[in-house]
Order: sequence, then structure tokens, then C-alpha cells
Amino acid sequence: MSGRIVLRGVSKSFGESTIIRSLDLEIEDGAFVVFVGPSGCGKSTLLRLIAGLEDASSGRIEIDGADVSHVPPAKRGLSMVFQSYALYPHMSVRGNIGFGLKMAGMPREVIRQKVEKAAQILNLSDYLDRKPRQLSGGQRQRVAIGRAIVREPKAFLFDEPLSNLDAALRVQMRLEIAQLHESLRTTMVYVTHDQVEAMTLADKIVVLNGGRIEQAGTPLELYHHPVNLFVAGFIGSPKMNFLAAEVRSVGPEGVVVALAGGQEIAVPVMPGHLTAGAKVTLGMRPEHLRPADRGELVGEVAVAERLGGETYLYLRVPEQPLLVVQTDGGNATRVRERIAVGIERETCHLFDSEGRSLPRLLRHPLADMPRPTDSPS
Amino acid sequence: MARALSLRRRSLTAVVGWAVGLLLFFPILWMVITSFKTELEAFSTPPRFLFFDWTVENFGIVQQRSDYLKFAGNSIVLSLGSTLLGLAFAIPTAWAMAFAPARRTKDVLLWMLSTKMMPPVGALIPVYLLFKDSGLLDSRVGLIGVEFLLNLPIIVWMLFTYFKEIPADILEAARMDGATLWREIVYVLTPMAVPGIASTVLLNVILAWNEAFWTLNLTTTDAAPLTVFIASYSSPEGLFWAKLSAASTMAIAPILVLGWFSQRQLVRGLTFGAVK
Repeated sequence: MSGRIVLRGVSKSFGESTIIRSLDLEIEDGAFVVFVGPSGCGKSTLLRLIAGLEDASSGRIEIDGADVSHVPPAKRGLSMVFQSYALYPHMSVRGNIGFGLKMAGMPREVIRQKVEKAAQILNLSDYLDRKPRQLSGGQRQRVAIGRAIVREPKAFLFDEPLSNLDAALRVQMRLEIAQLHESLRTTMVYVTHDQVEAMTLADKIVVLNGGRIEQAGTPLELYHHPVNLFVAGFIGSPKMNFLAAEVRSVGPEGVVVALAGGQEIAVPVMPGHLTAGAKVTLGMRPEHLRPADRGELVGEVAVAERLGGETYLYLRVPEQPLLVVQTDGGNATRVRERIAVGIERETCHLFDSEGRSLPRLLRHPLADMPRPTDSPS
Repeated sequence: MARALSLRRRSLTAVVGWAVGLLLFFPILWMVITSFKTELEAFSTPPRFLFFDWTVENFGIVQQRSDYLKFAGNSIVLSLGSTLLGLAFAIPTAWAMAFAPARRTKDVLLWMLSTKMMPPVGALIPVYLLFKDSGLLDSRVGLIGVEFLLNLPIIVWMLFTYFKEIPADILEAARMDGATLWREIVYVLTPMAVPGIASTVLLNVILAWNEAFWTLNLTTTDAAPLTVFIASYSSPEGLFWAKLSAASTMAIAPILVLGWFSQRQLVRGLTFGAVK
């Protein structure tokens, strides 16, 4: 049994509107794949297509080598954890976790053992005879996960499982899901709009937009080598700064661009089809900008957001949108002060007029690391 | 200040509520009182409210003339039978309409309701002839069939509104857990909808119990329920108000008791989905 999931040319339309456009994707057995994207990008629909809760309008879905495009969800051998938990309110925790096994016709004694083992893993042993309404949000989510794991599925599907939990619990459950994947090594497909969840949990992030895959890769690949403006803006928080610029010259060390204020920056990227005079967008992450006395960018601080550990300064730079700069929490700069910010040219991104990114000369050493969240074993 | 106002408002609401309640209940109260009068007193003007010679002889005469238990038995069989048959058809129907709607589901629902607006008398002759030719006249089976079809739209509508309130996620979770469609309905949907199904059953038992048009026209003795029992006292020999009242009291007593004990369920059933 393997949890390899392959989608070939999968499309989904509801009436006139197309949600998923001819999408190809391969999910390796045992991988943790996260779908992210803005609301309405089709990430939940894609998960429901894999689950079988929606039928694809065209294309083919394979699980474990078999075409399941027309197989009902009950027969696909997958488990799903819903955002709303979707527990059976009239059944006890025991009944909820064991329901799938009961449907599979397992003997009562086997069900009891498996349910109790799952409850033990999830710290639910004391709650087995309670009804879902007598549990807290975190416990309900654990029951939903327990219901998914006892069935020993080929793959787990998670549909924004943590978005109903408060912040502290979300961090804890995120860790528990990571540990669960570590110990089970079963394929997990996870939908979220929270990029911290995406970055920390995923082996591979799939960024969706308008029913298409913008980019799929390891979290750090997406962070360091986004293929276009959309992915660059979507991954990373606060968002990457985008400044309008113009190409001055093109050479083997990269592309020299000039900002509206006249500052010239040499960005180490492959120029491709770019020539002098082309309009481009320069991308710089807030964490890669540092206040420096001789910095290239000078502006007045409009807002200072102090989070304690770090401070975000929003700078008014002439003829550009507000520039976000991440500084350390001890930074004492006040609103309306003028400061200069230095650019680290190796960390800059350059996008052509169509928003495609220009490949960097050097690949980031961590971009192709298979598992960013190696936990000690 | 605000408190005084709300108190005055509350007492006003209470007074109006009681007044309306008593007004609605008065005919039933009057009928019960009349059933304990002699025929002479039942007619007297001005009518006496409580101070007359209370007597139970009407009940005795009524029971002597016609077998109450037989009619009551038929009423129970017809109302329960038609309601349970209705549920068997309406649960899958309402499931499909609530969780797998098609483009015309809304239209079908409205069309089903619209059949309730046709005057039943328009269908009387064809139905009567059908019953006559197939030997279903005055049979319980035939009457259960008619009352089942009569109330099916209401049962479907009520269940549909209840099912709509059940999150589809939970049914999808059951599907992911490997439940077939039938098991999903039996193990997950139906237990979750028990309050709604109970209200539906209650309301439809009452509706079927009170149904007079078809029972009067299609039965005489063997399958005749309590509606026929009452009607037999408005006879051409003249009106016997006291006996008619006694018969009516006996006919509505069981359903009145049922309604009284389940009024909370009933109110919930009738207003469900309207609020919240």
C-alpha cells in the first residue's frame, strides 16, 4: 500500500465558474504536501477532489497506482480532518473514533483495542465516554485526528484543521501534527491559508492561485527562489517589498537596475531576455533590509510596529509604496524620524514586466533540503 | 425606569397572551362542558356555564350506540400508519433534496407544496372511482395510502428544513469513514435529526387524526376513524348537541393529551428554521 497521489489534467467547474484549471500534480508516498493560496484559489476544492467529495469535471486522479476518478470517497482509503471537526454529535468519543472501523465491519474487540490505542496516543483516554459537546476545541480536534488515524489510511487529508483554534492551541496542535507525520510517515495533504503552518509542516508547498499551480517546491525554495511576483508576495511575512525599477546595464555579475530615486543596485540574477531600459520590479524582503547610516534608501518612518522581539518600520520612500523594514526589538527609531536603509544585493529578487522572476546566479544552499523540519529522533 | 417599563410591558404581554389563549381554547372548553349537560340544557338560553346538573349519561348513550374503541383503533392505525409510511419515503427524499440538490430541486419542493393548495374535492370523484374499482373503499390499506400521499409534501418539507440545519461536513466525514449512502442515513443523519423527526411525526399524526374529508367520503364502518364517529351524531333526526359534544370530546381526547405532553416539541417543530 502506498500513498502516492497523482493528478493529471484535473479540472473542476461549478456551472459557469472554473475552480480548478487542468492541473497536474504528483504527491510522493509519505510526503507532507501543503496547499496554500488566497481565498477562492481552489485549494479546498482540490483537496475535496482528491477525497472524492467532489467529482472532477475532467482529468484523472490516481491513488496508489489505481485510477480513482470515479471511485466514491468511502472506497478511496483516505481519511479527512475537517475544519469544523465534523464529529458525530450523537456518538461518544469512542463511537466517533471507532465509526470507520465499524463501517469496515471489524470485530468489536479489535475496534475497542484500536480506539483505545489511538486515544492513548492523542491523550484522550479519559474522555472516551464523553460526547463531543463536552469537549474543548483542542480535544475535539484530537478526536477528529483520532478518527482519521485508526483507519490506517493511505493518506490523510487536512482541510484547514487548525483555523478554529486559538493561537496557543494552534501552535501546540501544529507540533502534534508534525510529530504524527514523523511517526506514521503516511502521506499527508494539508490545506491552510496560514503560511507559518505551511512553512513549518510541509515537505512541499503548492501555491495555488485562480485554480492553477503558481509554484510547487520545498518551503525554502519558495522563499528564496519564488518563480513570480505572486509567490514572492504570498510567501513570507510581512510581505516582500516591491519597488519599481529600470534596467541600466546587463553583465555577467547580474543586472544593474536604477530605482526611481536614482540609486543603482547590481542584482546577481541571470538577465535572460532583459536589455537596458526594460521596466522591472525589485523585490526585497523586510528581514533583508537593515537600517544603515550609508544605506541606499532614505525615508521617513510612517508607522512603527513593535512586537517585542522585533520591530517593523514602515518607511515613506519617494515615488514608491510604503517600505517595510524588519529591525530588532531594541530599535529606538520613532515615527517621523528619517532613516537610511541598506540593501543586501544577494537577497534581492528581480521580476520582469510580466511578473516572472529572473533566476538567481547562486542557488540557496537550503532551498533543496528535503525536510526543513527534521525533528530529533 | 427601564425596569418599570419592561415590567409593565411584560404584564401586558401576559394579559394579551392569556386572553388569546382562552379565546382559542374556549370552543373546546364549551364542547367539553356541553358534553356533560342534558340535551335540554344544551339548548337553553341564556346558556349556563357551570351551574347545571352535571351528567355523564351522554357518554354512556354514545358508547351504547357506537363502538368507540373500534373507531379510535382505526384512527390510531390510519394516523400512525400513514405517518410511518410517509417517513420511509420522505427521509431519503429530504436527504437528496438537502444534501444533493439538483438545478430543479427548489421547483420540485414548491410543486410538492402546491399540491396542498388544490381543493381535495377536485380529486374526489376519480379517487372514489379508483377505490371503488379496486375494492379499496372502506379499507384501512386504502385510507393509509390516501393519508400518506396527502401529508407526504408536508413531511418532506419539514424534514428538508431539519436536514438543512445539519452540517454537510458531518455527512461527508461519514462518507470518508467508509459509510455507504444507506449507512450514512441510518447511522448519522437519522440519529442527528431525531428531534426534527419526532416533531414531524407528532404533527403528522395530529393532521392525519383530524383529517375528515377523505375519511368521511371513503369509509363507512370497517375502516372508519373517529371523524366518522363524530359525524354520525349530526344526524337527520335533528341535532343532539350534548351527544355530539360527548362524541367529539371522546374523539379529540387522545390527541389532546398527546399534544399537551409534546407541546414543546410541536412548537419547536412548527417554528424550526423560522428563527435563528
